[in-house]
Amino acid sequence: MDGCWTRRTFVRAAATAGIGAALQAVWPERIAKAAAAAPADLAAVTGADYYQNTLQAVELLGGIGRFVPTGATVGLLINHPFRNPGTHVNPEVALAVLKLCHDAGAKAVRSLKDEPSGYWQRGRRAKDHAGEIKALTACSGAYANMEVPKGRSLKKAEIIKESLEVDVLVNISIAKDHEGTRFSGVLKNMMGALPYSTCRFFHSGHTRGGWYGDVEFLSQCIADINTLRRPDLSVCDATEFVTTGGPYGPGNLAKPQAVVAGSSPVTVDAYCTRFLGLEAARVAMIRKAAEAGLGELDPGKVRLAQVRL
Amino acid sequence: MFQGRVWVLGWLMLLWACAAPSSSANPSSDSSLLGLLPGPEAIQGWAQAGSPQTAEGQDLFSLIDGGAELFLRFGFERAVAQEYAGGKGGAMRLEIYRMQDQAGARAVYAQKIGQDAAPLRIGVAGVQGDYYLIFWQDRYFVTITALDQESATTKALLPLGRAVEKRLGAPRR
Repeated sequence: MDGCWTRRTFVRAAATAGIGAALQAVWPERIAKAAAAAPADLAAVTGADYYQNTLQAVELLGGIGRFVPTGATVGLLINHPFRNPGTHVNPEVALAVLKLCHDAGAKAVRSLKDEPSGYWQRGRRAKDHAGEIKALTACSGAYANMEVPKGRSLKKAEIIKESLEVDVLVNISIAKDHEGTRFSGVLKNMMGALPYSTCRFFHSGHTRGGWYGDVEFLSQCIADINTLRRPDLSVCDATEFVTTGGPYGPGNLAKPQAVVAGSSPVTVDAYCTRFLGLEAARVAMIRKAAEAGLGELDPGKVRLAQVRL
Repeated sequence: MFQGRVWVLGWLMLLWACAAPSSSANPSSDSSLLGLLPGPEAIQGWAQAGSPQTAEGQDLFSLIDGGAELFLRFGFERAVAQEYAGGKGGAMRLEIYRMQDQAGARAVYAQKIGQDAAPLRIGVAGVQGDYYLIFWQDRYFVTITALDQESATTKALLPLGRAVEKRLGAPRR
């Protein structure tokens, strides 16, 4: 697979580039050099330090500057409303993205959803980033009523106003089981930017009864809303998550310790389905989003970097 | 003539109300949900942290979002959630869901048990996973989750579960 970076192919590439001597150096330095040479479209970094995994995943994509220009306003959409283990984004992952946005010289970083009480403080490095956390600005709470021009099932939607106004949208999700769609990740997390009334339409607008009465309709609506505001950077926390009992839990926990990042929400989700033993093409939401032009369904067809720290 | 019929009807309704079984024969299960939350006396070193959250009917979505569907499908009435803090920094979350009947509580339980969880003698039926404990009793479904990975917290799951079980009264199987 040409675009796939395993440790072996990385070392080979590093040697070819004349940096063989750097083999004794720490992984992050090697990653930075390689990423500068050929940024990946999709990066998966595994390791026990989830903060470092996140930093390195974005580095493999070419660095945060590829997504966040200096002076940009950034919106963070974080899947963090639940409290059960394995059902919300680990704060260390979100903290790493927050740090990167500030490093890039973002003018402002907005939190598109209010964090649950104490969310950031549950991160080990919260004290190191107290300034960035304090500088986060909340949203107005207002929703914009929008047409969805590319929508097939969803023609109109209310969506958090600021999610459309920010220069850069970063979707920070968690890969986990979901009772209805079987998988929840970046694409599904966009529902976090919607009010209950719009979410209810996703679930029952088909009039066939039941919250999950028509998963195909729900999946199409999820694909449609992602066409309205495609995230510029998608980060998926696949470190620890529920494989049963989702989306709320509790349930069986898997701990692959991976953080996956990419420019396409479809490809990031497609990659993450493996952690739940699913095939991306069989997850209707991901397949429909790919059909809507939101990215490549087959991670093997993009430049993929996989690294274990 | 009409007044007489009204009186007869009234007496019949009164007799029916007295004869009909209560929706819950167990007095303790009629207590308010808040009354089911164990206080600091129930588990040594642990106390309620913050205020309890409650939800009724469709409002459950505001409490647990998409997780609400399962409960509403099986006749959800009310829920209460309360976090507990331990002296050594541990944290647990207790959630008690009151369903319309026992069948609803049993159905939710059947959907929620994971294959990795071990059976536990608590309530009518219960299981304990690595970091959580769930059981059902009467028309209540109960989950207790450790919010950290400290062994002191996982050890406290069962005492908290027992305290809730006691407040629910003897199981009606």
